[in-house]
Amino acid sequence: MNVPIREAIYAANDEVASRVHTQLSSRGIFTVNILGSPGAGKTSLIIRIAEVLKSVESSKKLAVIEGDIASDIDTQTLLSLGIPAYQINTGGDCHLNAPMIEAVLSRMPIADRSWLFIENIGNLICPADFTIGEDLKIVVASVAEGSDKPYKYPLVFSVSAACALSKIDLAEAVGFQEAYFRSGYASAASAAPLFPLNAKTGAGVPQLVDWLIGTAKGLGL
Amino acid sequence: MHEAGVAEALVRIVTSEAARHLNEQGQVPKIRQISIVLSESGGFMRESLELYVSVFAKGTAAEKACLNLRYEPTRMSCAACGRDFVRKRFSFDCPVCGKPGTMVRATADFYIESIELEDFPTEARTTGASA
Repeated sequence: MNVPIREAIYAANDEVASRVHTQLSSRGIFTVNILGSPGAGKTSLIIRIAEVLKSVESSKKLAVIEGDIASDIDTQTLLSLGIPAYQINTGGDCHLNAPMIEAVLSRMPIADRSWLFIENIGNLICPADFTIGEDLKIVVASVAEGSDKPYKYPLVFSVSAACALSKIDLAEAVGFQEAYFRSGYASAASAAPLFPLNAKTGAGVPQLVDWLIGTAKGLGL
Repeated sequence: MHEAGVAEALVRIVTSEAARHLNEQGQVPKIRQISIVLSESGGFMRESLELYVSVFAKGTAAEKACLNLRYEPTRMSCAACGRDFVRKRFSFDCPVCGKPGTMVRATADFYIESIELEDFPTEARTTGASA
């Protein structure tokens, strides 16, 4: 006998993600899920965004949930800079899921009307499949990873609302072919914006923050 | 690990469903086949799914189930010539004009369409019984 089911494999996760999103947005919290390879510069970018946000909208607070397989290195760095941060160690899981975020929210104080950045596990594959209660995803791709990333991992670029092209200062040294990257990015991500930037010097970060501010306002946050 | 979490959820869903269709002996019927629809762009390989499903299904009604996977292709649109097309592996280019297309829909869709159960009264037997 054939029994129809039509149940999405991610249904249980999506239900929790929806609850998380409702909880956060009802408090005016703008939530961004940061994706990218290990070493792409996700934490460095978050730190720069926090600095720029403080300078342009001093009333806005930024908090971070850090996802890592092991260690709290990034969380300690953020805390040392005065950025509220909470560590999730998945112990081997290659992505964060919505129940992990829901569990953290019950323990982590986050100010209403703040920005919450969730740094996902360094991985261009699995995190793209999961919503975790965010308003949007941003993928961080460094020039050092090569110009072919949108061709090799189209889904992560397709599901992200924007791409931060990091370590742009290294482009020449690593032979980065920006036109080739941009063409692949346009195919995978359609009209989503691309922000070449350097988190070390801060170059390009204000443009990304301006876009984030506009996007958050567009969402009423 | 990606496939492991998905396989675990998959086994949980199909065994729960099978448990709602007890056979004439009041037993949970064995699952013969699990039909799944998934996005080509989701990056799931048949071999990996089969491996992890077999691990999680051990000792359950799904232990002997085979997977029937139907991959949904990635659809693209060409701004240059206006055609919609199905993405070919390794390429974003329009098969007609050769210009790069744009993904219309790249999702991580993955759902269980149906399961086929053993030890369930067949239609013929049901018909025969009522005749």
